[in-house]
Amino acid sequence: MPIKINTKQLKLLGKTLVYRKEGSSYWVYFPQKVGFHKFNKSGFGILLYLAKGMPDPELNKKLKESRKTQIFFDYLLKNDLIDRGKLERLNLVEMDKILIRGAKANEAKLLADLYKDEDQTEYWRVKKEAEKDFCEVKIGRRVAFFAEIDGKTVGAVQLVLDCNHKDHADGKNLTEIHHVKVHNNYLRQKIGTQLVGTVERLAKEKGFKKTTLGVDEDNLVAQKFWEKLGYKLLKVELGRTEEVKLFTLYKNL
Amino acid sequence: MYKNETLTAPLQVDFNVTNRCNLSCPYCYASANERGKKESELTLGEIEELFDEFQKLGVLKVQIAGGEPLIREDAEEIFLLSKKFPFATLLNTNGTLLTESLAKSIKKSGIFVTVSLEGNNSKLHDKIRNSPNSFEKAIGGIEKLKKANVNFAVGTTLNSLNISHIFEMIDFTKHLGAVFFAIQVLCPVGRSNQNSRIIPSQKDFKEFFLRLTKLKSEGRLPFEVRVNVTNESPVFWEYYYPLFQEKEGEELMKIWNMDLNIRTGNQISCVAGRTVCSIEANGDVYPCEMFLGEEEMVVGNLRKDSFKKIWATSLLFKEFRKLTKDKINNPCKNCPNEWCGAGCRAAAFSSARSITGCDFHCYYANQN
Repeated sequence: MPIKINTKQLKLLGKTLVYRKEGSSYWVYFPQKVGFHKFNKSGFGILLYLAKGMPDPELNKKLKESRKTQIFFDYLLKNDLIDRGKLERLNLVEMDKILIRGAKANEAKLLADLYKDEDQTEYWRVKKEAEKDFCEVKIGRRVAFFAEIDGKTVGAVQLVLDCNHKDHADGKNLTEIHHVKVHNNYLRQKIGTQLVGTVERLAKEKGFKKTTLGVDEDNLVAQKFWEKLGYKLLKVELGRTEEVKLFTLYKNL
Repeated sequence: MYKNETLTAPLQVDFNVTNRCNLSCPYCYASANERGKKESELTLGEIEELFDEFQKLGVLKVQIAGGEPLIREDAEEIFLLSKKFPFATLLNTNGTLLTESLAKSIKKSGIFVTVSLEGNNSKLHDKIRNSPNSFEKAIGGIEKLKKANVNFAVGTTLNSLNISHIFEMIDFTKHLGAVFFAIQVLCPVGRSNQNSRIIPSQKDFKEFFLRLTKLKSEGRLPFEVRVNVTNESPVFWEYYYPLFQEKEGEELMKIWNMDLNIRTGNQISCVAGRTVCSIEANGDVYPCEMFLGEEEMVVGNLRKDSFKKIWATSLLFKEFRKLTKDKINNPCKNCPNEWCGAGCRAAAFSSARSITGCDFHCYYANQN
C-alpha cells in the first residue's frame, strides 16, 4: 500500500513552494518569506495555474477581468509573494498607465513637490535647486520630463545638453542625465527606468554619443539602478562632502 | 479578520538537533553551551523516522537549530537526509564550524542558511559572543558558503551592545553577499533573563526602529532588512510603539505591512501548539522553542510517543489551544489595543511562571 505523503512541493515562477491541504484550505510556505499563507480552493487553483507555466490566453483574459482574481493578485503582490513584472508579462494584471511628458520652464515647483512628504530641509534644498535648473530649461541648455499617473506627477528627470563642466556635457558628444527622482509611494514600478529610457532616446536622436551622470559613493540603491541600466564607472571625483566621493558613470549610446 | 487556527499538524517545527554549542552567548534562549549532553541526542536513525512522520503529517518547514547544529559529527548526514523530504529545511548556525565539505553538502541539500553575526567587526562581535576569534571564524564560514554558491542570510540578535551599530551592520552584510539581513528582537527567556542588561532599553529601541522605518520608507536601505519580533501578533507592539507617537505613525506602519484596523477579538495570537512546535535534542517536544529548558513545558518525548500522538493528544497543547485573551492576567486582559494578541506566552511564562501571565516586556503593559 502506498504511504500517504501530505507535504507537497510546487514550482511557481522558478521557486519551490511547499504546501499541504487542511480541510478545504491550502497552507503554503513561500521560501525565504516570513510566515505561511492560507488559500482557499480557487486561490490555490490560480497558483496551480500559474505554476503550470503554459498560459492560456483566454483564461488569462478571464483572470484579468475578474475583480476577485485581481484582489487575489493584490494580496500576493502586497505580501511580496510574486513579482509584479512577471504578472504584467503574463498579461494578468493591468500595467499602471505612466505618461511621460516634457516639462515647461515654469514647472520647477512640480519637481520640488516630489519631496514634499520627505525631510523638510531636503525639500527646501531641492526647491531652490529646481528653480535654478529650470532657468536652464528656459534657455534651452537642458530639457526636463515628468512622469504622471492619473494626472499626478510621480517622477522627474533632466537631460543636461550643455554646461560648464565640459567633461559631463559639452553640447555635442556628451550629455548628462540629472536628478532622476521618483516619489516614494511609486518606487519599484519601473518609473525611473522609463524616465531614463526617454532621455536616452532623446539624446540619441539629438546625435549625442555618450550619456554621463554623477552618483554619490554611499548611494548604493542608485548605483545598483544604474548598473542594471548598463552604466559603467568613468571616474571618481571629490563629492559634496569630504567623506563621500562622487562617482561619474557613463554609457555609450 | 484575524483568525488564529489550530491545525491537524504543525506548519513549522523548530528542531534543535543538539544543545551543545562551542560558544556561550549571554542572551541564549536555549542556554546552550559546551556541556550539553551528546549521549541523549536523537540519532540519525531517529531523525529519519521523525522526518518521515513530518512528511506524512504535512509539515512544511523544518528549522534546524541548536545549540550549534554543526557541532554534531553527523551534521552532513542530517542535511543530506533532509533532501529526501519535501518540506523546506532551514539551518541556523553561528558559522564558526563551517567547513568546505559541510558547505558543499548544504548546497547539495538545498538548505537555506542563516548565519548569525552580532557585530560588523571582531571587537564588537567577540565581545557580545563572549568568545575570542569567533568573528573571524564566522566570516571564514561565510566565505566557504559563498564558494559553494549557497544562498544565505545574516541574522543578528538585537541587544544593548549592538543596537547602535545595526546600520553599519546592514551595509557590512550587504557587502558580504547575504540575501537579506534579519534582526531578531531579543525575547527575555533563557540566559537573557539572567543578564537583563543585554536587553536594549525602550528608548534605544524606539530610536533605532524609527530610523530603520524612515530609511526603509525612503528606499535608502541597501537591501532587504527584516525585523523578527518575539510573538506572532498581527500588529506587534514592538513595531507600533515606537511609531505611534509620530504624526505619520499610521503611514509608517504600512511600511511594515501592518494593519491597525485589525481586531483579534478574544483570540490570542501565540501560535505555540497551534501551528508550530519545537523539538529538543533529546526528543522532548515543546510548544515553542522559546520554552526550551523549562521542564514543566515539556509536552512529551518522541522516544515514548509518536509525534502525531503528542500533537493530537497532549494535555499541555490542549491547554495552549484553549487560551483566550480573557484568561490572560491584567493588564493584558483589559488592554485597549485591539490589534494585539496578548504577546509572547514564553516571555510571560519566564517572568510570571504561568502561561496566562502578562508579557511584561510590552511597553503598554509597563506604562500601567
